Amino acid sequence: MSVTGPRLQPTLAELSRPGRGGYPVPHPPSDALDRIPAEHRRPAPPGLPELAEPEVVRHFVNLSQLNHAVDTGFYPLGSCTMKYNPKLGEWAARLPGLRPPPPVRAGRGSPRGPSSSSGPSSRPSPRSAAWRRSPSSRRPERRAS
Amino acid sequence: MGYAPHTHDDRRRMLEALGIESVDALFADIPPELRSSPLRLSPPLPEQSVAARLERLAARNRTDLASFLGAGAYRHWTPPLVDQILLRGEWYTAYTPYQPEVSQGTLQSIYEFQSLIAELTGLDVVSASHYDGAAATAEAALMACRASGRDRILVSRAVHPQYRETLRTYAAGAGVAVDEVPVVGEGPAAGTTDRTALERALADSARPPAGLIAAQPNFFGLLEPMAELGAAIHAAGGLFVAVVEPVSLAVLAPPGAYGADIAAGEGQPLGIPLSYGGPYLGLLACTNALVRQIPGRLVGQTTDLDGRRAFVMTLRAREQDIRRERAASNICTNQALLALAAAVYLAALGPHGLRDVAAGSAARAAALERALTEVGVERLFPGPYFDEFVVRVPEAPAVHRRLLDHGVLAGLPLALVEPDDPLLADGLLVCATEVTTDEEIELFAWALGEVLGAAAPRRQPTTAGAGGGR
Repeated sequence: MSVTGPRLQPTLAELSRPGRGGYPVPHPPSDALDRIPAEHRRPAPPGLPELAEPEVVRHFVNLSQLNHAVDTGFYPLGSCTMKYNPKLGEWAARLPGLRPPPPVRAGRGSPRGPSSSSGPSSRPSPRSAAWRRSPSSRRPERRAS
Repeated sequence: MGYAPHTHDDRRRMLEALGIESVDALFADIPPELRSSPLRLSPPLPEQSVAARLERLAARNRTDLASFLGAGAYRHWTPPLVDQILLRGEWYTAYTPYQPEVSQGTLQSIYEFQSLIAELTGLDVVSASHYDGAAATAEAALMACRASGRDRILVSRAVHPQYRETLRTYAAGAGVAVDEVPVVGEGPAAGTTDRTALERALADSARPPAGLIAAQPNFFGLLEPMAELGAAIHAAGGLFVAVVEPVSLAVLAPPGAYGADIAAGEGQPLGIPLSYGGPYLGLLACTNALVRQIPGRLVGQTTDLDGRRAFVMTLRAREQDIRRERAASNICTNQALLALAAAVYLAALGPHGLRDVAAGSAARAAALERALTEVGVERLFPGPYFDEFVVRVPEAPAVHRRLLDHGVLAGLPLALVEPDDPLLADGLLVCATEVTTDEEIELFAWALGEVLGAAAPRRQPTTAGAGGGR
């Protein structure tokens, strides 16, 4: 029995060609890493594949088409049965306001007990947790030059 | 628009086929007193009303802050192609592809993910992912215990405090003792793992350690002498677990190069949004010698009956659905869709792109340090760092709150997470990455100067009260 069908895909490593593609990231200054001691540095970049954007997109789109998924058909598989998720959820999960940085708040415990033992200068305040937009909060000010 | 496809007529015909009168008859075996009372839900809303409500709720969160918060989760630019791939419905499968015949896409994507993380870490074996960096770190500790037959783990206090909290939770259930190794308090090595204290902890021959967990960069952003730490635990017969940040591995020595047996880490920086703390992606890698101890799915390459390449889950005897009591872990749920995001991100950036992201982050962090120094704010620990560092700011939690009014999310006041450590009372952990702009750095430095200047004399408790009382 064949498990892969006719659309077997090469791997990223097989598609890679030295000097090809690479995402256009702004180049940092050439001395950016000079302050990091040599013993901590990686001698050469990691062996990641080198591909152009359309190759990456085609690779993963082609791979996706090898799947049976809840969006392509009934998925009645044992303990991992998939239920259809309304697309509204995918939309909502991508609202920028629902993707803020993690909360900054006191931990629930430390090895030496609850935080209440600390002095007033370091007492954590749960109110510092969220950056909800309150009526009094102002837009960022820029320095007046 | 309904989500259930059955019409009234469909249901009637199914009930007829079953020979029952109503859907309730399906539950007749459950005694009435054990059934739930009717759900008191508000009536359904039209989708457009739900969308408008969610948008209003989302707008209550501030997205306009100049953020210098890292502390385990990092802002980076994600190429838009990553999310476009993630939006393809063909990826919405079970995270465990039990049926390879219909799952070659997911299986190969996991195999690609494993291969890419193996390149980054310099280790042989990578699992198909875990919940987050903290869970992966705790699993690494249990791996070390199983491999060594010992039940005591040493963890540096320069490992993320929330990771240590998760580790203690796992260890308590497993009967494992967790001993913390303090950090150096002063001098050039301040803020890194105290090697003298480590030697003392290693010398306890009554209960030899299964392993040592240290982070690179550590929680304070500092670079640790990983080769020396690894040599010390190896000399004591234990395993070395490195907690790593994957973007930094483009420019920092990989765990495989400094003798780590296991690497654990948070995969969020690889193209995954901050999302208020999750869902994230636990990375776990190890040497080939430990392959039977690693928990979670492993995908391997094989050939099918026609001799063609295929991908399947492998070494399944480690897993709880095969051997529940003796499984490598009883948490094999993973983050397959986010592992896919990481694989797409790494494939898109490539070795030079990722190197530029890492070097760019290091450059922006250096620019941040210069700007803060200009307003008189100095680093707390002098050692080399990657893209994150601690500055000394008296009343850091109060200052942090006041900076929110200036539109600045000023990192993490360490007193919030380590309230009992006097060394860290004035510590503010700040981070910059390749997306941090000159304008954001300028705003932070200016606002910090304003807040500290206005706070004189700085030590008065009333200053903290004024900062928190808006």
